[in-house]
Amino acid sequence: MSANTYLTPEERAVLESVRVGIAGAGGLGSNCAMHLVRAGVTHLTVVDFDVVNGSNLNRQFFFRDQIGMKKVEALKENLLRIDPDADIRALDMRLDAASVREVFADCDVVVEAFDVVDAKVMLVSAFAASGKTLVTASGLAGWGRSNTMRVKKMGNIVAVGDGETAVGADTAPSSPRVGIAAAMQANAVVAILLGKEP
Amino acid sequence: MKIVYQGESVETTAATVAEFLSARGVDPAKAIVEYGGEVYAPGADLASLSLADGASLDVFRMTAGG
Repeated sequence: MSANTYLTPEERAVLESVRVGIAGAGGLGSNCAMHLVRAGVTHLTVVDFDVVNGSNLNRQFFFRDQIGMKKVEALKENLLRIDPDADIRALDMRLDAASVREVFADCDVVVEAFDVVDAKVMLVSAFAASGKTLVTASGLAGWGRSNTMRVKKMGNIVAVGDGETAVGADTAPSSPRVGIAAAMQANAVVAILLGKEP
Repeated sequence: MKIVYQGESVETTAATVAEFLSARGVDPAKAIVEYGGEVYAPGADLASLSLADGASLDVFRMTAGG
């Protein structure tokens, strides 16, 4: 039984039968995964090679006592506190163009949740012509301007964010705006799975 | 000619999608482009895509952060 008691039987059947892949377990990925599990998705594949450090705590779904843990293991631990029955496949590895399609082969939807542009480009390029839905995010740094965050459907790619604001000296990544983007990604995923507009 | 760029009508003298985006500082290697109903992944060859009057062009730039 999923964490979401508000679902209809039909919605529950869908969300408990699919698998969502999340590439990256940082600000976008950890928060998107949290929203998906709360929404009722029970099968996730989460991939990241990094460990939790103190600077992550301003926006990522981790806690101080998890510093030093592998992000995928810490995230799995936190997600299972929401839904102990969730099936979280936590893969501690660095994704590349050669492996990414195979790693997410059994996923119905894939979420791009990297922070480095080259990695984002790699993932989008890998899935652009695949027919599989990919939900990507860019333009989420800084503060304010919530109304510039939008969802743009481009073929099988759903793009979330303002598509402009990169992390920089005056635009740090912070919980509110990264969190908005992560929630929008999760919202798009659930909507797509339930046959609605993202 | 006029095209619809990011949902808004704009005047341009650019002949191709690549030329149009270059004039706006968009790096096609780091952007998803939709033109004429087709989606182009980052790095796609946009120099051979001629702009047509009234056509619709949408771009989503990929930026650092997550």
